[in-house]
Amino acid sequence: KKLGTFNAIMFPIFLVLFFGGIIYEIGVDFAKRLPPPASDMGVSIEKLIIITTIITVPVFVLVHIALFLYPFFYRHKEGQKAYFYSHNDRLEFIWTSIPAVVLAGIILFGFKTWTKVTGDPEKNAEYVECYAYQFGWDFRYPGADKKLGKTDFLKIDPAKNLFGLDYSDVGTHDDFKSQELHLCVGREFVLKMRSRDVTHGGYLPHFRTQIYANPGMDNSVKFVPLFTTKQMREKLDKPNFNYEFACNQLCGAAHYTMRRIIVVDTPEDYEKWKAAQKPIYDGSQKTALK
Amino acid sequence: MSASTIAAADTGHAHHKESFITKYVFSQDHKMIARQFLITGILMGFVGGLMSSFFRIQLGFPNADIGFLRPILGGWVDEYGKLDPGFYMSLVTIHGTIMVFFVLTAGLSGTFSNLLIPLQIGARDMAAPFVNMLSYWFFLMSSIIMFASIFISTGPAGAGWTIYPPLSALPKTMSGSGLGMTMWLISMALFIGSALMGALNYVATVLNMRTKGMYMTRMPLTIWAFTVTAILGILSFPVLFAAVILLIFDRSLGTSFYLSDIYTAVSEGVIHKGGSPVLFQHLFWFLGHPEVYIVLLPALGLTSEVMATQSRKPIFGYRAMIGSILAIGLLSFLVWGHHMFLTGMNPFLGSVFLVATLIIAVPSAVKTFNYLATLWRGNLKFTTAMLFSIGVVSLFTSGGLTGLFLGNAAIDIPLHNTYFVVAHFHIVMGAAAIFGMFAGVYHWFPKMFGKLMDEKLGTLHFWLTFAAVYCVFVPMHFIGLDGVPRRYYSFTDFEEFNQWIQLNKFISISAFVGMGAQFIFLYNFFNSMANGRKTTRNPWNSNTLEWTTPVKGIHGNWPGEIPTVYRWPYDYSRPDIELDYLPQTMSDEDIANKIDYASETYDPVLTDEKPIRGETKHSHEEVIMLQLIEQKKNKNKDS
Repeated sequence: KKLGTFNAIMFPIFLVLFFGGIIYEIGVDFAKRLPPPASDMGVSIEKLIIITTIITVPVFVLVHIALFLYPFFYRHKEGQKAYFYSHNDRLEFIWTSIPAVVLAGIILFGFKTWTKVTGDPEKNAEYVECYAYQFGWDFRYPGADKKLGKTDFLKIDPAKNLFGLDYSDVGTHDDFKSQELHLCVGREFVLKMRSRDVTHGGYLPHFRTQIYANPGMDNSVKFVPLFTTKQMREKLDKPNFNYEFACNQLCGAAHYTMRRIIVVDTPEDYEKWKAAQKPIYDGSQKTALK
Repeated sequence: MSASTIAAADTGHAHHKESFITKYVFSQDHKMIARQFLITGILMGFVGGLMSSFFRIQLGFPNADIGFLRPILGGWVDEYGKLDPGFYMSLVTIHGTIMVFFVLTAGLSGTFSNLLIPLQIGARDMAAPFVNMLSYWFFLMSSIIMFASIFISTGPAGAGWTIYPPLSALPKTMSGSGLGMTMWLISMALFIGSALMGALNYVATVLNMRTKGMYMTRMPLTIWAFTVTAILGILSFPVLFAAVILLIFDRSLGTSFYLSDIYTAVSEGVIHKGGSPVLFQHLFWFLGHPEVYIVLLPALGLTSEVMATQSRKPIFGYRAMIGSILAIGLLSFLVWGHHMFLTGMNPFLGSVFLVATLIIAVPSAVKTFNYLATLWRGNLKFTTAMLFSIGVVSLFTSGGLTGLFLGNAAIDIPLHNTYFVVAHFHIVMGAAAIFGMFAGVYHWFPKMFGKLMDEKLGTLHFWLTFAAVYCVFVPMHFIGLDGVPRRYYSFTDFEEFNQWIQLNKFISISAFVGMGAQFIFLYNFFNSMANGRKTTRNPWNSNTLEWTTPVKGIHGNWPGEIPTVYRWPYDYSRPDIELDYLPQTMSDEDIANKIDYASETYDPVLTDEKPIRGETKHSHEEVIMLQLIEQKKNKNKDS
């Protein structure tokens, strides 16, 4: 019987500690959260997250208040019986239809956001290939013709032909490589994920986007960057801040090491950077074609 | 066949001699098989928990010298005292595999479906006791192979419990994808065999072997949950089996079901073209999603039963609860793609899975509200089982709500494969489902072992575990929102992810406390088996049929005939009945005659219609056949 009273009191105490702990944790680590979304699609997703939070938090709070106070108020008392109440169909209807309506709203809003984010890119979007391997990323730019040249996985040679470029396609002749992912604000970028061994995941946490790089498949994400690296550094008051590119699908023992830096420039600086890059093809590869 | 032979069959096994081997080892008795599943599940759970302790040491204390673990981990700790990153991935993989399949599927369904189905529906045993026995032995073989894979030199499987190809198909890409992966596949093939044999038995028994008066709508919610779970298993496990077979082909026969444009295979002379890694993911998750409901539904069923019994109140909305179980079961087959939003499948598919996934929240919400209404104005007894049941509702709510974020495809884009996902599934599976299992163990321990577990230790076990679970997994939501990926050996390479050192320490310490709390349970469990207080026949004053069998379980369950059932299982605290419970075996006539069902000598069949007694020998199968015939006769008589 003592145990019964002990447990009856422990539940409300746990309730206070539980909610208190969560609020404390949010307070302490609030500064560590991701900065505001650095892409347009990230902003849409953030809106959806906030709406979902506003709906779910009250449910979480109210259910737990009931769940942890009932043990106290309805603890076993000798000589007393429970209230024999087996069902109430009207109540079932109410608490089925209200969640259904709320969820329908979430579904509609989520559906709209999803189709917007996964829709077709603009005609003049910039394409960059994010080429994954165990254990790193290389980025291939399409050069002046704005087209990524053809590749063939049988031509891949990490020393001589990293991307497996098919030089018989003229489109490959102006492609260039970069170790950093360079983007610019105000333009839509399409990142094409590619892999030469296992499935990797191209993940840009600050931009709130990612997609798998499956070997043999052509996956891509599209977004418009909103803040240059310099702007984000000022926003966060962190002069050493860099956008980071990570692998987010288990790809082997060194999965956690595949970091690359993302640099977001103004459009002018971005064009200057592109103009300064040398193409991979230097004419000599013609004779080395298999 | 004369009435006398049928009647004699119904009195149980009069002349069945049992040796030590047939009673304790190769037993065909569902109660013994249940105990075997439970013990094996607990042992595997300990192994899985140990794995998680090791990788939590790495995550919480990445700079620590763990050379002191060399006696256990051997060469997987290098000369600087650092854990091998590839082995870290194996720890994570085996942890997930063991916990999801071996503990929460076999250990949960295998134990309680076996124990409770025949007892609660009024049957002598399962429909196919020999196949039932095989289901345990396949499970044991599967467990031994999975356990053995941990000790091989190239390491156990390391591609995650989801073992996506090409990583799992190409041994050159990861050490664990060699022999370790092969052993994983063999172990899982056996496991699937075990699961199917069990599930077919459960469904056949529930549909065919209920006693007189046990209409489907008089079955306890445990049985409804186990039946739907079994149907989910029958329909989905074969698809994983197919996925495994195709993976074996890709690994060993040079096929390209899942592989295309693999540069690393070219050096071996194998050109893969035309396959798709996404195919594996579809096949895997077609099982994978129903699997998580196979894990959860039995826990919810056990919770319903414990909650009603210990609240001394009917479970609120019995029919709505049945409807929810059926809806969840059906919908669980339509949502598998929500694990694949980011794999590059057609976005239209993503929309379809988004809608189906969010719809499944509705029956889940209905169940939560019904649990709350059960507690409301009850007369709550806080047995340890009841504590864990209340914990289930809390965890199911918390984890289910974060599912609303992840199921909404666009929100999954930044959160997929982060710690947010890890937090979500651990709270619903690693906490809610395991709490349901604990509730079941504490509540039905007297039925399994004839003794009671210690309530003080149980209370301590509950509060420590409950606090630890929330301390471990709630912080992970924030870490995940910051974009920290899962399955990372360390976060030091990334400025954004490296901020969480303190919190990871806190999580690891909470995890060690939680793991330590399980030793209280282990001590309580094994000690009570030997030294626990002897139980009465119906220690919880419960209405269901299993508490009308003798304390020391007998082959065939009831010494005489199987009782007839006259009511549903939830007549608790009826205002017109003096006591606060009323067993299903009590007819209105029995009530009028003031039969004392609280006494140890209550005979549930005393006033049932009696067949004529006779004497003869029958095998298991004959007994069950005769019982089926008898029941058919009764049905024809009623209609």
